[in-house]
Amino acid sequence: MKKYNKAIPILITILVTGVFFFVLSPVFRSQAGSLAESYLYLSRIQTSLDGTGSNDVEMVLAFQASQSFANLDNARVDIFFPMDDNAEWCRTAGALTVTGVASAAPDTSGAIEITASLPGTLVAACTQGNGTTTVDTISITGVGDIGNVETYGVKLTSNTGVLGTSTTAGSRTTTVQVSDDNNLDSSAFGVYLLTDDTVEVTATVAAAPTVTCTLSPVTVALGTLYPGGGLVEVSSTNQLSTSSTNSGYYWAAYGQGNGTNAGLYYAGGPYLIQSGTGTGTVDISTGGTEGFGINLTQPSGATVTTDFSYTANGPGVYGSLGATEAGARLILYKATETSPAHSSTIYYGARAGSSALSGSYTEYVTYVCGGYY
Amino acid sequence: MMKNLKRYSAPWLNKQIVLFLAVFFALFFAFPKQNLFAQTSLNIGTAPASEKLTLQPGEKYEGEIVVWNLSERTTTYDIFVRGFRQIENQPGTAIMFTEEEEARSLYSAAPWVTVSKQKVDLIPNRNEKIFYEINVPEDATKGEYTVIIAFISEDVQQQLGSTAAFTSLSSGTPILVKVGEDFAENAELLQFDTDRDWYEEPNVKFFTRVNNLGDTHITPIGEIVLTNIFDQEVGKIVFNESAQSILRDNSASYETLWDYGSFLSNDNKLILGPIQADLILMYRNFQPGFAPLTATTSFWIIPWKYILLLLLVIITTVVILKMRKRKKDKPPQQLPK
Repeated sequence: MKKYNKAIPILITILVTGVFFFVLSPVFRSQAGSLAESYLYLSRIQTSLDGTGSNDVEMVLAFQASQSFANLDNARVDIFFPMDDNAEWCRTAGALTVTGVASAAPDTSGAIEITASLPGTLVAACTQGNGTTTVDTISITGVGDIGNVETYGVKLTSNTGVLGTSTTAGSRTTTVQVSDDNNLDSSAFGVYLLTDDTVEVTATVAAAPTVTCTLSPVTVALGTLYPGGGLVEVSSTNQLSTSSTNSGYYWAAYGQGNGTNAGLYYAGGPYLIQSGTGTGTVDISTGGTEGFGINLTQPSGATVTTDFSYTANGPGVYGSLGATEAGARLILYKATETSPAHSSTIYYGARAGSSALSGSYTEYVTYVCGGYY
Repeated sequence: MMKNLKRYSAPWLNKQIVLFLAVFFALFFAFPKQNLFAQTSLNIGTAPASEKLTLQPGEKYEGEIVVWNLSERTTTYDIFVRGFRQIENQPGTAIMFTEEEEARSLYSAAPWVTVSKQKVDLIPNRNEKIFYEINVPEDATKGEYTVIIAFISEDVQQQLGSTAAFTSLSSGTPILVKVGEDFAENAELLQFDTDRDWYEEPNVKFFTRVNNLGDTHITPIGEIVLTNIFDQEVGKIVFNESAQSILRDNSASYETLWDYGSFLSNDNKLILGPIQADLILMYRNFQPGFAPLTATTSFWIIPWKYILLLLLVIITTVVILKMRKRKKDKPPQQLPK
């Protein structure tokens, strides 16, 4: 016990000093809250934009404060960027063009919607961090009185070469802080950046995209169908083949039937062995059923739509064809360049019901091939 | 008389020739007729695959489409100029309107288009140019209009005397014509989901459905970011790599496949258990970042066969170890004295 005698006064001194520090330290009343109804939107969400020419970027900030902030108490808005992005959001330190906006494109009616433009004589500046203790910051000063009812909007536009984006793709955490001398509200946003946010290629392309389509053979004899008889399936060498450049290909098919419904049609009857309803599949696997349809085998890397899949459909089940262009159904597609050509075998299946009239039935199937736009 | 008769020295040979001829004719007439057409094929190639134009009211545009035929016979194709629509919610596809649909369509540019030919004979292995002209009326209202210059092979009329399917081949060049400036680009995300709730391995199909609410086509692009249970990014997939577009007043379904083939990411992050997928996509030409669409879904990767195998190995090991231990603990039997 004796050896602790010296330590006891030291501990008491530390404790008393601590109490005095907290009791006598300057009184600073501060209320911190979270921003509600807020968003931070960038006109471009691509990495490495440097704020020049077509690499210009704009921001719109919307927020609803949880408390009031007064112009007299130096109300301001600050946007802080990640430490790792030093000198990337503020490409050069300098002034930004700032405007209060009463609405903006990202507004979602009934959800987050700007209801008032940020008041005041607004002045904005972008300051670079030092990479160790300070971060890139956009400061908006001269903000007028702010209440906690309205959702305020403010738009920041870069002066040439000032406002940019991080060089790092993915989510970048950005903190928005609304404050005055007494109060502070803040919120953090995950700004997601992509390496390329270009939506559409509009540049002149030297080689035009092409698609080349082959259908073989032109005529498919189904032989003789017997009323109430068995299923007839013909495959042999019926094939679709396609090669495409740039953006893939697709095939669709439609029949003619009697003009209203697709199927094998006997005009002399008239009688239609209908290709189902023009949607889904037609099941002619069991005796007594009637119908006509097609199935396709799937080339490697391409997709045969479910209703027309030779492997997915059981024996005697075929994809149902619609009539005319209005009933065209997608049968096969691939979304990327195809070389060498793909080929798919088509199986035609037909069965005549017991009430089918005797005669020669025909169906005209049009296969439509194209490249994506 | 005798000199007209051809006789062979061996009489049995006469009988063989007659028999051969009889069999030949029988086979020739009895053989199914469809084989006569088995080698017939249709082929058409088109360039460009599509056109996207921005024109102003009163403006005239002249263009050309090159078509070719790589089959072995000359084929006649009828040329149709009509508006078009998407096929069954598949983005980037085009099927021309029927005459009735054309008459009802508000956004068909077909009445503005004239082509240099109404039909074309495509000689094998030779390019043919079809010239077209678009004259936008002065009073055309702002928005996007569509037209397809389609080629359909003429019907091959054959009498087979039996039930048959005759096929035609159609292809064409869809043209999207924006008239005016400052289009309303607006879209909503209707679905972002996977085809299953759990998978044995990272081979996941994502379904995304986007509805175009604007007055022009949109081409949504973006990324699907995958994170594991430890909130680590384990994968990133490009959404709509082939830039398939959605026409105005249409919705479209996109399929995105993630077939990774490993349970470890490139930077050795674990691809197991619950995986969260975050979709972010953009569709605007102007300031795309102002209107991204986002959604989240999740799924599980459970390699249950491997897990089962591992459990079996563990259980077997434990049992073997216990048995050995029991054997060791057992006192040696006393030999009878």
